[in-house]
Amino acid sequence: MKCTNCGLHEATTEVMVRRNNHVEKMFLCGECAKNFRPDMGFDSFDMLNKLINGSPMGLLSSFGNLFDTHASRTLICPDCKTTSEEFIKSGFVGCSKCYKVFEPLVVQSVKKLQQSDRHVGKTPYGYFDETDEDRLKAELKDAVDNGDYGKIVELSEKLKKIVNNKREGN
Amino acid sequence: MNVLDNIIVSTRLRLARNIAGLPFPHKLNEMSARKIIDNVQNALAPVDKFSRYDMNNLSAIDGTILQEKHLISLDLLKDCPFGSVLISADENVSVMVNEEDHIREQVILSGLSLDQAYDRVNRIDDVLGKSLNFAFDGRFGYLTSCATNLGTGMRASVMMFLPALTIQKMIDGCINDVGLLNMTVRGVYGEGSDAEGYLYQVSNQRSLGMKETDIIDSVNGAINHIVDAELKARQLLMRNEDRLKDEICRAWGIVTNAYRLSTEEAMRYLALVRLGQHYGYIDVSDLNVFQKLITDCQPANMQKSGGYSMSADERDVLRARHIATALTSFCKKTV
Ligand SMILES: [Zn+2]
Ligand SMILES: [Zn+2]
Repeated sequence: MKCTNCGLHEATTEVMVRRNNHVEKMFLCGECAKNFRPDMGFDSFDMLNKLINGSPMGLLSSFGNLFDTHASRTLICPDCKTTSEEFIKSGFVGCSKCYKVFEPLVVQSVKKLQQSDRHVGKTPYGYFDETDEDRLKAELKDAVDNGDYGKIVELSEKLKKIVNNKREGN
Repeated sequence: MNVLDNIIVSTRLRLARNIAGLPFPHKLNEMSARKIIDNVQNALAPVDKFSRYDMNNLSAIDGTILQEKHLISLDLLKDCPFGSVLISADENVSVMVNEEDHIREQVILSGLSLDQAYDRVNRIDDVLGKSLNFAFDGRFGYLTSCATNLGTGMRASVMMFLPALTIQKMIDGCINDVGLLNMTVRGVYGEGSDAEGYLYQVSNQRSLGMKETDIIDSVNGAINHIVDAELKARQLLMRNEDRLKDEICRAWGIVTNAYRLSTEEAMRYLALVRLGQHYGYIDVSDLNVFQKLITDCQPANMQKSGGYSMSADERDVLRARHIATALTSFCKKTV
């Protein structure tokens, strides 16, 4: 079973969490268990009540309103320790990993804010997306047919990267 | 010179970027922050000659001067201890480091030049992207510390001079209209009131799910709408032409004759003189020089040109003299 906090790793620890008036069981991975503190813990929070104020750019004066009330428990980023509460309150995350950890919340908010949750613009130098995979495979076949050893190495490296990225992403 | 030149002051285009594998600036330690500054500086070297200003050893007045010139944000100046900025010799390019994001690449050009500004910032981004590994995600695009900048990380802003809409209290309606087009409108020096020179910043809200060129098209669309509205509002002001002429001539009289001028007064009356240019009451040979005069008159810039020990009163005297001399050299009242 996956960790109920980050949803990324296998759960290894069982903890009790107090939420409003009842106690709930949670199953955590090693990393999340390390960050779990019973005193402030993953205590429940009301997404809509805590928010507003302190917005960085006016736009965010109602960032919290972008979330559904039934949204779940607090999540913590294993890399930078930012919590989903902090994200919801401010619209800010602490690192790139946060976007994976808070992905469902990010999707919820940007869908309303940006009317989309999928980038369509420029990509950085050296970035390949999945549609490049077929193209690279075809190029690799050509390189093999032509015995172009340098090209074969280069293309296999790129393909390996894409496959690895895919594995990390899911 | 056409009517657009009077209404549109400048264009600014910025791309927000972060380095993969490092926490965003508000979670970053000093050592990593300093390293990013050095790396960005090195990466920029082939592009142009850039001057570097680190916020931790910049005097308050020199920092404020950069901010008054809109080369850095107030946030970088006040809240970013490891912040830095790299500014090109022509002051058209400013790359802020360790502000809200690791890197904010910005190009600032006069007039309405979104395409040119994007072209230039995009080329800088290509160069930086080759030596720096940008944080990027197939779904969310360029990863930024605030979710509102995800995707392209792009903000295209146009600074507009909108006195007629403001005076006739039609600006809110206009702001609502372009809000429907997903644009935001904000006063450049606060709320855009008369004492702030009727200057507004119009920019895109959406950065995700639209291509860079489509964002630019949408901003251009909003600008056209606002320009039309401002022109109609300027037509309405003509219904009482004598009063309009009188107000503008009085403003001219003050800025060319006063012995002392505060920043607020200078902004208010210079704005009316600029409006006078539209109606042909005042002949202005170069509106870019006119805009530079407004920057020169801001407190820190004034202080620098007059010597650091000047008092606020002395500054007001110097401002009045500076404006009168400058205006009479490239502007003329024709009514
Ligand atoms: Zn976990
Ligand atoms: Zn994080």
